[in-house]
Amino acid sequence: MNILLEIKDLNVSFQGNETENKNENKSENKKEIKNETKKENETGTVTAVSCLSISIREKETLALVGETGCGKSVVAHAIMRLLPPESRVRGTIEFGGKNLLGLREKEMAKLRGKEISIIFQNPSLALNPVYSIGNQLAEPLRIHGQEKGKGKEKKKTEALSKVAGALKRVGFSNPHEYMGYYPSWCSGGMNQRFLIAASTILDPVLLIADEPSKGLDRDRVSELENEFKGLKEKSETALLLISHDLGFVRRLADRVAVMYAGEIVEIADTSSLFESPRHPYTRGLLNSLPERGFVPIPGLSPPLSSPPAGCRFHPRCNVKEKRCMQEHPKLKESNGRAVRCFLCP
Amino acid sequence: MREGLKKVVRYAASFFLIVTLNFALPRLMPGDPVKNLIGEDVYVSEGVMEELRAGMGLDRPLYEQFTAYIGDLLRLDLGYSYHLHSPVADILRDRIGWTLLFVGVSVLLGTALGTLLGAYAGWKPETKANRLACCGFITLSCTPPYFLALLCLEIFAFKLGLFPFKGFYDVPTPGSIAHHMFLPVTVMALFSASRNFLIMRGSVIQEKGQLYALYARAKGLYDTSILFRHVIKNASLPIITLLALDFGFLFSGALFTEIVFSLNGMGTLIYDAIIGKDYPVLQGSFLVIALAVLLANMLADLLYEVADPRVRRPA
Repeated sequence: MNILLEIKDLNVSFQGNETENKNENKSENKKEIKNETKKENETGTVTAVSCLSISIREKETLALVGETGCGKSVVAHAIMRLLPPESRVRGTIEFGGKNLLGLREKEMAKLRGKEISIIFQNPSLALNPVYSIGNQLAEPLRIHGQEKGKGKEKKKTEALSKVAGALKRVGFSNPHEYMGYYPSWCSGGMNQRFLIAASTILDPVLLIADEPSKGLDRDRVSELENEFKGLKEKSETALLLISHDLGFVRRLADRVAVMYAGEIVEIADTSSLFESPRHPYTRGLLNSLPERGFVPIPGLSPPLSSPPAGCRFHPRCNVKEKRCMQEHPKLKESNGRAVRCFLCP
Repeated sequence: MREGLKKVVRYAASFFLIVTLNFALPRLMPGDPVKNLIGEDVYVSEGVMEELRAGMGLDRPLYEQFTAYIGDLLRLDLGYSYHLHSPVADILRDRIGWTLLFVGVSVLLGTALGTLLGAYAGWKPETKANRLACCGFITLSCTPPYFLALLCLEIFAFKLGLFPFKGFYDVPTPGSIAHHMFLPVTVMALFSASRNFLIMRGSVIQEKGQLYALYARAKGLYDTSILFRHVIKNASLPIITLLALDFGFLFSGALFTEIVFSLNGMGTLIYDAIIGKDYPVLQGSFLVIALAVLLANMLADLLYEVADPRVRRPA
């Protein structure tokens, strides 16, 4: 299968100092990105993601898991180029032969919503409170209106039927009623489904779901799971699933990448990751699942403004050696799996 | 429906309160109302004063006076001005059209200008032009309108001779009226715009950080189309409130501007009435202004229901 999206050496950092910021932006324009590391330490920079490389194949579901604050959402926003202006993004994100980071904002806007879509964490806030659901669902159609030369009326009825179809797909049996609703009249679960419908209405090639199961109760999560499964069966969409719900991930993903403190520590296909986890952090994560006895990982994840030297996981690792504290391990690949640990073969 | 009923009751109560206050205030004032009515410069004998007092019903008990007052109001009778020798209702009818035209045009222009510029300034607050605009509007909003009016009159009418000094018109044609109204409307519109600008700017800065604005970008909207399609509608909700507040505020602000430009509207009427102690006119004017503000608030209430679905419930 072809590779759809390839991220190489992605680094995302956030500046603490505002004046520094402007200089940084200028240097970014000139593409002079050197002596970076020196500056970082001076200005209290937070490096949210460092040296991250992943790829997603067509129609594949890749899950990105990890604790809160490990940089998962930053990756999602970096792919969509939605990060705030004070962020600095380096590396390459290749999508369909284009480097997304090199595109101009206008070209990027054409891709957003049409080829790459995102579902945000907080559906009730992501929908605009003063526009009706129907209006907001039809918006991607209006923005990326493909067929020109058609009458306005015809376009409108076409959009309406498309919106109705999308609402039916996410489980609303009487879509025309819900089109007149507003987000504030609906529950979080309903808004979640509206958001999924809005993001998938143009059949994007890549859908990024940022913590879609967050804040939903068990029944809703299994409903959501079915929706994603249905979506994948019916369309050609590849899915980047960001979550810390491991059970949810296990049932949906083809491959799983585990993140810790801004870097990938292990990538493997779902079954081998869950059956034979290699990295101590992955093992710790799985052991903390309720069905495996709720064993927590000791300690806290390190602040991203000053990650520990050596392996970033070493302060919490129970099998660490001396070199773990001094050297930073590289991601080692072998038979389709990759692990960032000295002690793993 | 119950919400609607509550609102009706609330407005009815405020209306009643306004009428009551309007009835009570002149009666609470020190001094003899009849003497006040006639004025200090005219000598009238005791007998005539008794007669007047009986004619106005001031010798009757308060509740009877009140019912009589309400009855007069229902017949749109606001009393008689002894200074202007004419029924107050007629005088007000004459004047209020002009002030409404003046204030209405200013508020509309000011709101449109302030909202649009404010929205843009909030969208890109870091650009030099927007910073300058912000400084300018802050200065304007801190300047009392009458001072601005004096300044404009001095520069554009006296020094440059571009505009007439006073009045609504020389000959009652639209061209002449527009020429006369230009300066006062500009002053009031600028003042109203400065308030709207500052509110809108802050509102847009707040709203553009919301998640729905980011989602609009994720949908493929580009730069200012996010502002116009998504942010502006949310951000302009406080403007509706300000519109209602401004209406009352501009009425009082218009008072001074009208005096400066010698416009024969409500402002000069009230001013002359205060100077001449013409209580019936004052009482009538206050009632009308209070009602106008009440009406503006009611309108804002209704507008909210149309503009913000969070206020109404599904049918």
